[in-house]
Amino acid sequence: MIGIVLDWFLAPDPGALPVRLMVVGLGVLLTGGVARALRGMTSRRALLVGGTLLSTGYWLTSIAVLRGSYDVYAAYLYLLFHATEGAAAAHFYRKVAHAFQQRSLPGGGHLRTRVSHLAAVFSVLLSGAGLFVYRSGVASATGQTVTLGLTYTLVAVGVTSLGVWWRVRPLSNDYRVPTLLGFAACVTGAELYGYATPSLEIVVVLAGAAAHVSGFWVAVGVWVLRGHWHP
Amino acid sequence: MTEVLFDGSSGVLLRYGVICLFVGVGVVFSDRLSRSVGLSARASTLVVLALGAMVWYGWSGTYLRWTRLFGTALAVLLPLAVCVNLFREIVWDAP
Repeated sequence: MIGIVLDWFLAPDPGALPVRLMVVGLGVLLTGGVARALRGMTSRRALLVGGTLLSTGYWLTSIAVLRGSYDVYAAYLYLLFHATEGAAAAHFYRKVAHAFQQRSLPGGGHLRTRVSHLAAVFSVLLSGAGLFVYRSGVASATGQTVTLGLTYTLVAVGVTSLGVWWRVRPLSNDYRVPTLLGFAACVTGAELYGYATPSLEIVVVLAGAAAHVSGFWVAVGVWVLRGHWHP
Repeated sequence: MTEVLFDGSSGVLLRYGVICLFVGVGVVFSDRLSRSVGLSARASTLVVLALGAMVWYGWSGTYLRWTRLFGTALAVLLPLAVCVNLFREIVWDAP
């Protein structure tokens, strides 16, 4: 919510960053996908040469089509990820409810230890962001230009990409690292993307909330139907 | 390259993309041919070049349209596949 409010006042600096993140992320994602598809099918040299050419070809052709409609692509990625986030939120509530019932966590360990560990990680992240803001303020006073927009962009890119990477981390057995990195970059670009009009931005945010709620209730429905409510 | 990527026209991007795809498919197909049929690398490259020239000459318009469609489909389907797998991991496979 804070991100949405900030997004109304602050635009990413440089302004083309979200689109570039999506474009570069798509390239890395396609490279990972092509390498995964060709692995075991061809010799190492053909994989290297053919895979590079194929992924570059797919990248250029998809950009040629998408460049006319980055709005639609950013909204698509945003909705897709928010639906998945809804399921993850349901899973989180399920684990918290179980932890309070059992006084222990599903993965073992005590609740207090895990909470203090999470609090330590968050405090390190928040201190880093605070230090950066403080340092940029000092630098501005001494004459160097570090704008609030740039600080916001760096913090937003850092926090969003870390959040997306944390979410896709369990898939590291199924996908190669480039695929997941590319996906994280694409979603980060889509999260920061500034739409043409404020009304379009509001529509996308509302649709994202609806996708989040849908993901949440689909996950709950699946657990209830399968009788696996407790983790 | 960066300028073409971000500022070039869609037609230029598409042209470079199709050339890369065409050569890439040729390299992979030639490798598969030499491995499965037992042709020498040079012979399989020649076969692929001949086939490629025929395809390029005969169906370049259709090929271009399908390439655009396929490129867009990959850009749409790959993130979808990652999200579906993530959803499955969270909802079905999670303890």
